[in-house]
Amino acid sequence: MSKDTFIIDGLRSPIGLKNGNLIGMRPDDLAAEVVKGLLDRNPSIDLENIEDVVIGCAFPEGSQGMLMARGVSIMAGIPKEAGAKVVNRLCGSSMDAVHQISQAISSNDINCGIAGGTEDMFGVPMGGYTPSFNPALYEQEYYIGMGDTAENLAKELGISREEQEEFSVNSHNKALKAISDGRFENEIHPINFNDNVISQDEGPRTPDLDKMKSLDPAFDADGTVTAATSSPISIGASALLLGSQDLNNNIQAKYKIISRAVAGVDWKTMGTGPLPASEKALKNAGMNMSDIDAIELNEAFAAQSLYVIKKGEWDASKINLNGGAIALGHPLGCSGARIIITLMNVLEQNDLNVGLATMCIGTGQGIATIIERV
Amino acid sequence: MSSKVKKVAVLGTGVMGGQIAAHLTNAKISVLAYDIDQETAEKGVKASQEIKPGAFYNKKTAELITPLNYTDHLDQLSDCDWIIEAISERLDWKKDLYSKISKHLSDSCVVTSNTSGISLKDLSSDMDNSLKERFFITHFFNPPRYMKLVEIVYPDNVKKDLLDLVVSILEDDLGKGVVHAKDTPNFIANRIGIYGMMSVLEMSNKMKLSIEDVDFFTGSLIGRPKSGTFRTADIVGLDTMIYVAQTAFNNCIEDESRDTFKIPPYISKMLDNKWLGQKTGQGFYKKIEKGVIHSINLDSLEYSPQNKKKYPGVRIAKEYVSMNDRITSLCNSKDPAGEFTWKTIASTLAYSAYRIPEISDNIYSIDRSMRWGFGWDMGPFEVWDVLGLEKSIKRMEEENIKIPNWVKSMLADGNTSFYKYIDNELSYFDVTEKAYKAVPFSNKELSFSLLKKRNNIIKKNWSASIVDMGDEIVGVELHSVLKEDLNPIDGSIMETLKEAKDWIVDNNYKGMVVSSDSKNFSAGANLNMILDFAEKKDYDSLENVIDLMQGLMQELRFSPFPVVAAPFGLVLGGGFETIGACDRIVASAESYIGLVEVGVGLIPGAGGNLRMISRLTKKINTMVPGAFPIVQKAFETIGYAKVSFSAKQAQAYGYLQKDDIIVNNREYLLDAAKNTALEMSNEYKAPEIESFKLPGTSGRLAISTMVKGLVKTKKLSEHDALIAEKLAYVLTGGEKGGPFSAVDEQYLLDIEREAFISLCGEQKSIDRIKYMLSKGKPLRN
Repeated sequence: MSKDTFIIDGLRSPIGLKNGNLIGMRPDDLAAEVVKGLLDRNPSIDLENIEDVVIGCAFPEGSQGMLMARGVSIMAGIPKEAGAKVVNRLCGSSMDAVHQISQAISSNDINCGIAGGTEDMFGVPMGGYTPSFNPALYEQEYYIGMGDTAENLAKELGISREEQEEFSVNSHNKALKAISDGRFENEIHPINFNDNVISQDEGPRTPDLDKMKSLDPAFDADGTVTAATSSPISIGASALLLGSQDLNNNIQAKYKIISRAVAGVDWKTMGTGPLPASEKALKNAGMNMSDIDAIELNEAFAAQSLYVIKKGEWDASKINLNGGAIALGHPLGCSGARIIITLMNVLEQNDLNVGLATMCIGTGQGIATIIERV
Repeated sequence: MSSKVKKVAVLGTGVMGGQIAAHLTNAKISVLAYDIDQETAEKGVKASQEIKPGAFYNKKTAELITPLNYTDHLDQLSDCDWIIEAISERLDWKKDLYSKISKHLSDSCVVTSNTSGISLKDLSSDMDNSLKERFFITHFFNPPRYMKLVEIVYPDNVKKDLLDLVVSILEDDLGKGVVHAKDTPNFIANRIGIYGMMSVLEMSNKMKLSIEDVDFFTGSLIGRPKSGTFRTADIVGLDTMIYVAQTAFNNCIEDESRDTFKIPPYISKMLDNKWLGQKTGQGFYKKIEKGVIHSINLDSLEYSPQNKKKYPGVRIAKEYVSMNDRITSLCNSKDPAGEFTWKTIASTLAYSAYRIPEISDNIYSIDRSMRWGFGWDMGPFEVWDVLGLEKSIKRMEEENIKIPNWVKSMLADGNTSFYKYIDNELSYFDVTEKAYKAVPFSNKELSFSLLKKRNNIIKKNWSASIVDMGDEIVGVELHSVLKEDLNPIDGSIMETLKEAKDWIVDNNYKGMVVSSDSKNFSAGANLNMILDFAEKKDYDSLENVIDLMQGLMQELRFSPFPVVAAPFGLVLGGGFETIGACDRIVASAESYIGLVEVGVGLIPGAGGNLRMISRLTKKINTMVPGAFPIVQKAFETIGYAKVSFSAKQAQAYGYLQKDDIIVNNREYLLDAAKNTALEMSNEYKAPEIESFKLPGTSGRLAISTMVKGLVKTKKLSEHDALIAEKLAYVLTGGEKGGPFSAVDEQYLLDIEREAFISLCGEQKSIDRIKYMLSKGKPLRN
């Protein structure tokens, strides 16, 4: 990489669930609140420095349409001279937004920018308002349901329902512990909506094992994946402030991006994406898996995460120390930046150095980012 | 909001109060709903939203109800024009409440009580004269939205303008049928009704018949509610039934049949055991497990599996389509079924006759009360006419059933029926004047039977007739020869619609109204015919019939005069497709509309898909090319066979359109439809042929993906999925459809017909049709 990208700071909203207190909030408002919060707590960065705002979103239409990033930028009070764009790589959208700002800094196009993402999965349905399928792709099962891809992975490695449930229970327990230890406090920006102040993720709860076991499979009557072992439909927003070495000279940022990578896989087993993506990111960084101290692996499905851990022989004790998307929620466009932010905090909290954030992407891709504390 | 009143208060938010409040909001009237404390009031209002069958046309109108309490909010009563008291049947409580509210009432406020058994005299005994003139009884029947009857009992010096106001709200806005009753125990309906029930109990015990057989004899077989007698008692509650019987026994000292109201010992035991029916889990029937219900033996009071016997009299009676023929046949049969039916009906006829002039001066009020309040097809005097007065009186006398003198002398004077048409008006025998007088009707009431008595029949076919409604409007009356209550759309109905259309053109008439006097507008196509062709694999004939039906519907749609449909009750499948083709729909508030074809393994075949696309296109304004949200809504509505619980809800589903008219009183429907046709005929222009830009293949594949997911999770069967795929194919515009290529009405009809016929070739669809025809419910295969 020609020039280094420093992560000055990162912030996210609490993640809202069905019947929760964030329902009804516009995703662009939510993202603007987060960006504003991020800028407010970094007063040393002059707003004039911000040259571009990139927001990831998986279904950029309706309330998420009309080049939402520009609207977010305006509402967050960023000077109109800054640019803005929306990037779509489905679940990998906001990680890709981070990559794009990082790439622009690397190639000397800009010195400072904001990368983030948002998704209101209640306001804009998965698949969008007007799904229109291409027959040629339909033939190749390109439009396969995400749940079906998880079933395919569970089947391939014989991952049992019990294993998936245990994984989910762990995710909730880790998240609950992180909440009670205040480990999300630095990364969550409290949101004011409908006379409520929401400052905590709505997903994590003490698992009701009987209820979990009583659920019907959610995608295949003969399958093993249930609602309890899938990441829930949710709403959320996240944002990172990124800058070049020039900008950092006065600020002394704590994190640096070491490498970025994407990779394609079979869309029918899209959950395998983190494996080749992480491999590439490690290669780009000239590292081995053993160099990685902590991993944020986005939990689209328990079966999918378990597949990656088993197949890649990853060290489970390094993964998702504060819980993952099964407990917290997976607002598609928000999640990529969210796991980088969580990873930053995990490194800091555990005094670790190198971290990997990676996730799978519908249509069969993986994306990965390696960061380092400086 | 109704222009007649600003606000109505309902005191008491129990089962009746809550539902009355709900029904007032159905007429867009704001309601203050009071109860002893705020929590009770709020709970009551909430409960009225959960009750089944639903009390609201649309639950959203619950916003018009404000829950209040007697302690903090009585001052708000001064804003009310009408107060309906519906608290528990305790005289002291009611009187206490009246005295509490009296000082808060405006001078023009009318107060009515929903009591079912306490006399007007007792209720108003402590009131000052000014309030006495503004106080009377409005007795609703449960459930008040669905039961037509409201009995009113008022003092001689009642304020006439206030009485008229309440009656007009009841009739015009709430769609009720008002009967003027006297201040006698149980008023009219419950007095006759409880006699009927107690005499059935008496006779069942005497003839040692099982309660399941008796329920069958006294249910839909003779045009009464399906639950018959014992099952009805279980639903109402034995305690409630016995309370009404005791009221009659204690207060009707002069009653010649007073002993019938005595509580039989087995009932006393059941009351002691708290076997009160549904609310205590057992009564005359006891649910053992899902689908297994045992019945009680009245001698041993033991429950055992039901054992319905076969009776030749029943078998023969069931052959008759017409209720009149069926009742006559059953009463004349010599087996226990016949004997039982005759004896219980005859005693009720005599009992009713003895009640004149005690509970009513006229016979029609008694007949209306029983039809509207107890759901009988015919009141006692109407049944008596069906059985034949001369013949039945002879038999009653032979069997020592006493009948009052006025009936005998009426017959002796040569008057051989209680009702007859005189100068085209329905007239009844007036007991006081010993002469026939016209039955009073509102001028808004109209029926085909009345029009036909006026001899305005243009053509009578098997299942439908062409009737001149006056003012150059032609009515097409559906009266199926196959199933008179359900009006399946058969060849005769189609032929009649065609003939009516031609007749109007030939005679230069102004418009057409399609409706019926039956219980339901139409429950769908003639499934027997479709099954017959499908089983014979005679697809050519099937194609011809569907083509004919589609063509006829389009002809109606584009005819040079307005066609107005006046649906009510069930409007399913082909029933909806018929009204869907009309220019305007004037619907009864109680219209249960739905495209339910998937239940029998088919999709709509007579333009139903086209109508839904057309309606939803107007309803859902979408700028998105390809109209996916429209197709999605149509797919869900048809695919899940959604049936509306009211005309109001049918508008939300898209079956009815914004400019369609909803009429709350069923009796006013035909007149309103005729007036609408007349109005529209002024400078009428036929609609233009529509074309639609639909999502085409790319949208269909999106739906297919969803369907596949539902099959995987076993929410849909493979056959459901096949039907869903065909439905999606039609709704998305087939091969030709696409966001940039419009398809016209005929293309949609062609692909609909093709899909319909291909489904008729599926054995699983045939199985579904057969199952529906034999069991009356859908088969999931």
